[in-house]
Amino acid sequence: MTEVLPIMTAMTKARRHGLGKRGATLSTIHEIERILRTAHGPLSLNEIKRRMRAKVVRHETVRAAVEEFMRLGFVSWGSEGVVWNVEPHPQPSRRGSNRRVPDIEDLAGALAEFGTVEEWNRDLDASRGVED
Amino acid sequence: MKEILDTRFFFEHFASSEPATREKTRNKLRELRRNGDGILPTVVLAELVDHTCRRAGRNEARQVSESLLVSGLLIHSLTPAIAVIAGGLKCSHRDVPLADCVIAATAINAGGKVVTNDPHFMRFKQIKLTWI
Repeated sequence: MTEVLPIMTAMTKARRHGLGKRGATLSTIHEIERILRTAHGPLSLNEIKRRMRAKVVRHETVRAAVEEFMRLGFVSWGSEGVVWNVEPHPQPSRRGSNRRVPDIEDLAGALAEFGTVEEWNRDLDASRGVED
Repeated sequence: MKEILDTRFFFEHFASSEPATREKTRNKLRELRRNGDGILPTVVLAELVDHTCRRAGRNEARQVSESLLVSGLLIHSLTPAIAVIAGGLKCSHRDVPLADCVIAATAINAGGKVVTNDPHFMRFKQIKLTWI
């Protein structure tokens, strides 16, 4: 017991100074992400906690995960709660997945036969509503 | 510094018949991909698919989009923060197309410059511009 006590004291001191403080686990972050992605409107932290599988979740854990999402620009946090912003990027179609996707640099000039750059730009201006 | 690629840059890359221009756009893409500084706004992706589909056909449009999605360029969606900036720009510059405002807002949000030769962007005093 005498050998264990100094270790416990050190752990308590470390915790008091914020050392060894553990944040949300990856599975918790993924669960919160899923809840926010599938929500039909803003959710409060309490509502996120309520929807989580675990019966007891620390408020600070949910807050830390949401703040991390906010730092990465994935969510907006307003007075109504937290809302997910980002949609996943579309992936190249799987049809013909053995077909090699050409590198973007190799496609230089690949569309030159379909018009000059000036013609492409003119079409673009027209579609953006720019008058000559 | 991040560089936001306008649709006109890609027209120059894909449709130019000048070998010297193609080399410049290829070098620009290579540098941006190597440094992780190239940003592709989703509105630019939409315009590219639209115009390639119109002029060259669906298969070419799919090839272009797939190449861009796996290119390593950072794809930036129209987030609420970017939308708010874009709306403010459009309000102050009513004759500038909304797509240009979204691209400029993406640049402001990322603290980067726009790669374009479109004179509309010169109206935005706070935006830095560059070209190939």
